Amino acid sequence: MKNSAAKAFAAHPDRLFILTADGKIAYRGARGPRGFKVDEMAERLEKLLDGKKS
Amino acid sequence: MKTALFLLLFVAPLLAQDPQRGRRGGDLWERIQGMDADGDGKVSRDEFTGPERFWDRLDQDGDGFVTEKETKGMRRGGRGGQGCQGGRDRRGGGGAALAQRMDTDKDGQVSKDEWEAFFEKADVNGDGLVDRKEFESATSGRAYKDDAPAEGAAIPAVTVKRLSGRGSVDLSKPERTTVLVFGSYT
Repeated sequence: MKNSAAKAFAAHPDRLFILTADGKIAYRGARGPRGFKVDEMAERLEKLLDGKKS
Repeated sequence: MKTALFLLLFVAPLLAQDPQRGRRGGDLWERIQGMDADGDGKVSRDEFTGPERFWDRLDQDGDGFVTEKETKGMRRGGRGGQGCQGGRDRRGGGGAALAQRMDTDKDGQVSKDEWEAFFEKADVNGDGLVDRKEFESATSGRAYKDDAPAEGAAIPAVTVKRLSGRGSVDLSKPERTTVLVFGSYT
């Protein structure tokens, strides 16, 4: 296992991202564990999905 | 008692003053002051045109600026207890600057609390480990540089194998809005 994805996203050891179908990064969380914030990501996801609906 | 002795033996060599440097130190600020382009009385990292390796020794408090007071501190050797004086470490290069940055109460010694506080500050992501990038950032005074692709940027072209083992997924071409979770699970 080369861990290429974690390297490409500088994600080690924990991190959250939201990717959109247009090939962009919509949310980049800070590096975890300190920056690993599920609530923050969820809030951003809701806004993103609400924006798509309207 | 043992802890104090350990700190003296460990820190004293790092902070030992170079007598040659002391004699020339009187005009050190004169040489550096000329780099103060905006005339605010201190030299920022951007204004500093000297060799990169000297910056850590000059910016003793790690605030990103060199002041006349800091150059005088280098000349006199700073405050401190027995064997602990400010100055350049011939052998350790930036070791003296590192010790002085850790010595937040400027008593010439690095206490256990100061050591642990430095670690906490250096550990940017709070994982209990200081990796090389975090260490370089903490010791140089430069802001920690996050290499992750920024919001709004294109998704990196990375292909990962499916857990089923059948086929792979190109993360840069998600079919729908996708949450990517990196981490370890027990």
